[in-house]
Parts: sequence; C-alpha cells; structure tokens
Amino acid sequence: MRDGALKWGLRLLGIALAFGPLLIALGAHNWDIKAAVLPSDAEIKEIGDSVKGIFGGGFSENTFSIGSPTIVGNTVRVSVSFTSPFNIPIKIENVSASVSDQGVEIAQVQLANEVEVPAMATVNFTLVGTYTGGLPTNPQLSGADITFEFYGVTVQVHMSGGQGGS
Amino acid sequence: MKFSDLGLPPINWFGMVAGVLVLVLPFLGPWWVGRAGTGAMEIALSPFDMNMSLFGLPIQSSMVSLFLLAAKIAFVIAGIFMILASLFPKQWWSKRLFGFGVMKPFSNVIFFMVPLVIGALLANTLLPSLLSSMLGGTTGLQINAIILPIVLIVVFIVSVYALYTLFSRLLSKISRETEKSQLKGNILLTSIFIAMLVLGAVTYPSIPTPPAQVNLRLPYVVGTATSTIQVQNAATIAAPIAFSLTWVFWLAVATGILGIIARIYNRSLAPPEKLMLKPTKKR
Repeated sequence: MRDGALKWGLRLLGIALAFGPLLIALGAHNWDIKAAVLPSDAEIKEIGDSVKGIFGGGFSENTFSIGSPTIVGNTVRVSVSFTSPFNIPIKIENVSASVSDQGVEIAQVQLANEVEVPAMATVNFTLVGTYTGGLPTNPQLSGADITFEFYGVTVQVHMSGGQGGS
Repeated sequence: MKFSDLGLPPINWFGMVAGVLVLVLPFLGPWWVGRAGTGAMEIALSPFDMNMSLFGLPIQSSMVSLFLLAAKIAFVIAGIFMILASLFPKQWWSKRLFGFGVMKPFSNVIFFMVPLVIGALLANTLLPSLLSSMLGGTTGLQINAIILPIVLIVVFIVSVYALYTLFSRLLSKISRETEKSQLKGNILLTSIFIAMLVLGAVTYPSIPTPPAQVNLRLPYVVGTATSTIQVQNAATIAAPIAFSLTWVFWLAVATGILGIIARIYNRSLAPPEKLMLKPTKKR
C-alpha cells in the first residue's frame, strides 16, 4: 500500500517536472506556442536593431577615399582614407588593388601591415607595390579586395570600378 | 569484509557519491560550448542551462528556460533521494527513491548528445543548400541534401532497433526476471548512444562538401572548422567554429557510470522481495 503510494507519488513528480514547464509557459503566453517557444517580437526587434547598430550603415561611397597612384622609381604608392561605418573596432588584414593605365593593369599594390580601426573612426594607410614599366600617363585603381576582421569573423569584400572606391 | 562486520550500518557508498554529484551537477556550468568567431556567436549548453548570444546580445526562450529549471529541480530532488536511499538502503522506501534518480545522469548524457549530433548532421547537409537558395545562388536545393539526412536517420533508427534487440537477447540470458523491465530503458539508451557514435564516426568523413555558396562544415560535437558564406561575387564571410565538451560533461559521464555501479551495489544491500519469493514459486 505505502510502497504503491510512493511509487505513484514519484511517477506524478516526474510527470509534473516534465509537463509542468510546458503548461506554465503556454499558460503565461495565452496558449500561444510560438510566443512561448520563441523570443517575443520586441526581443527579436531589439536584437535585430542592436546587430544593425553594430554594423552601422555598411559600406557606402564615403567609406573609402582613395588618392591617385604615385610612382617614384619602381615603387607605386596609393594613399587610402578609410572611414569605418561599424560601431565596433575592426582590423583591416589586407587590401590589395590593381593599378591600371589606359585600361591595362600595370601593377598590384597592397597593404604592408594590418591596420586596427576603432569604432566609427577614420584611418589613413598606404598601399605599396612594385612597377617596372615605362612612365604611365594616367594610372588609376581598377579594382580592390579588402579583408577585414571583427569578432573573429573574416570578411573579404571585392570592389570593382575605378578610383574613388566602393 | 562488510561495513556491517565493523558495526557500521550498511551504506551504499557508490550511491552516496553519485547522489552528491547529481546534487551539484546542475550548478557546475555548461557541458558543451560552441563558438563562432571570437564572440560573434556563443552557445553554452547543459541540460540545466542554455546561454546563447549573438555579438554579445543574449537570446532566450521562456519555455526552454522553464524546462531547464525543471531539469535542475529534478536533479536536486534526485540527488537528495539518492543520498537518503544510500544512507538507509534497508528501508522500504529506499529502492523507490534510489530508482527515481539513479539513471538520470546517464540518460541526460545520452539525450544531451543526440540533438548535438543530429543538429550538426542537418547543419552540414541540409542547411547549406537552403541558405544558398535564400542568398539567390544558382545551386538551389540539392536533392542529396534532403535524401542524405533522411537516409542517415533511417539507418540510425534501424541501427538502434538492431542493437536493442541484440542487447535484449544477451541480457535476458544473464539478468534476473524481475530486472528485465527495468533494464529495457537502459538497453534502449545504450543502443541509441552506440548507434549515434558509430553513425557519426562513419558519416562525418564521407559527407561531401556541398557545391553551394554557403559552406557549413560543423564539427560533430567536438572540434574546429571554418564555415564560409559567399555572397554572390561581392563578399566572402569566413568564421572559425569551435565546439568543445567541458569537464562538467565528463563529470556527468562519470556520475552516470557511478550511478549504474551504485544501482548494482544497491541490490546486494537490499535484495528485491520478489526475487526471494521466486524460488518458492517454482517448487
């Protein structure tokens, strides 16, 4: 008798612990399964807004300001000004670009060292490459790849087009 | 020599230690940790806690939180019951209280591993094609990506059934009649665990990398990998992914094994009444 009562008591305890949370959660959310299981719309919106806030407006025409390539001897230099649209610090790991003259690629330039960019800050850096041809008449940047890192995630962006970036 | 020979009351020491471990396990932290990048996404899981964050922002579900709280309460109760039952193994209530919690760590270890393996399997096979389709890739949903998980799940179920049948036959020869019903659950859990391990070990190296824009390559439970997302020809996003089991998980495994030993030892301290009646029935 008492053993049976204990047996059933323990079974009911197990059932209460298994189904209790389900009933409480559903009851607290007016028996709406979606509301009980998933975060509320307000919470999802808050997360979405926060993530958008981290990434700011993303890349735009004002993100990069690229100077004209200058050639001294056999070294090509391109000065770049980068205005971070991100609300978090990022690290520019690499930038490589092609320098063209009259539509023909004449050199490759790239970032010498990684650049740390604080949140929403503007940094200046120089891309350097080697050039061994004759004196170009109108050197221009014809395309670039930028690799940056945030939160341990590496993003490589390919930008096509002429001088002025983006 | 028994403790009773020393004038000490019989105590199930294995059960005592297992009971204390069951009592403290819910408060020791996560069993498994998954990270993408360095803080881009973090998931810390145990049967009692689930902490998820995206770029440092926590994500929660009220129902999941309640289930985890219930699991925590169940373990605390089970731990107390096991300690009481181990201290007084000859009391009439001892066997019932002991049985309430003794298999909880073992079953929790197995039911904790199953979703992790199945989740990684689906993420590696089905998710890349789905995401590629969403990103407007030309690859679309690969038929293999649907068939492969289904085939694997069917193989898994068949394997569990085969192992269950095999273990049931083996154990029916060596176990006592009254224990058979109690052992069924344990046999099923063991079969699931072995089938899962074997299936994971066999399929992981053979799963092809889908020719999709999204290349997810999640480790199975433990390991590191790099997943990439190709957004048309404009950008490539690569995130290192690291999964690891914590020491708390291995403590839970040890607790589960200790629980099984304690259960066997408990029988020697308080033999079931039905077993004592059985020989008279045969006569």
